[in-house]
Amino acid sequence: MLIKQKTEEKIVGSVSEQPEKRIANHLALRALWVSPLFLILSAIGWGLGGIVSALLALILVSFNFLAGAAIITRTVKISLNMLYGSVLGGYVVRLAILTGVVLSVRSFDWFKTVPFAMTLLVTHLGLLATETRHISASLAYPDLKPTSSEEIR
Amino acid sequence: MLNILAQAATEAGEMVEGLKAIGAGLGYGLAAIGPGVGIGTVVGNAISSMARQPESAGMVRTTMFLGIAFTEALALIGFVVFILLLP
Repeated sequence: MLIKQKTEEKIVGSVSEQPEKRIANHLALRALWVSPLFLILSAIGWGLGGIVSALLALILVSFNFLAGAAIITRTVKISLNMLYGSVLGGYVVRLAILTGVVLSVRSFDWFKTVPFAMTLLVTHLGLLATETRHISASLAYPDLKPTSSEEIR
Repeated sequence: MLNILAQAATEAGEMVEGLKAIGAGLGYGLAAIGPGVGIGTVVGNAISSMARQPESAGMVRTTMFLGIAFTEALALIGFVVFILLLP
């Protein structure tokens, strides 16, 4: 029991900042940067309805990343078992929220399925691919990156 | 005779719509199983790594978060198919 507690304290103590929260914030910020492209494309193809649908998809993608990160950040401080349960439970809850939002708005005239679906998939995968590239380029996650030459052995 | 044929055609149309909805729901449910298993594997192995090497927890959490997000993309594809199929 004591060993388990000490291990968990070490895990919490070894991370100066929450890396997943930083990644999620970065992803949300990048979603904001790429949003004009999707909004313009949707406006050209589907008009005002397309813009609103693409905007909804961008909001849902950002919410999905931020909620996922918040769940990990919150539960890793409690215990590893809690982390496991919450991530799996959070997956189901986030999918349910996504489905609930779309099913509640799809009857409206302004909702266009194609720009929504296109923005949802392309943004999710595109942002993740870019972020992975960004993290791989630094060869270490930001908090582990050596700051001075003395640290490199 | 024509009335009976028209009624049968209407009922067949309704049945097709119903079958579409069942197919969409079934497809979404099946598409969500795979990522569920995948996320379980990712998080399980990440927890194992964090317990073995607590000092690398930050790196493991970064990789875990990206792994979860990538796995979730499969469920999103299922979701998109669901909303496209839904009558």
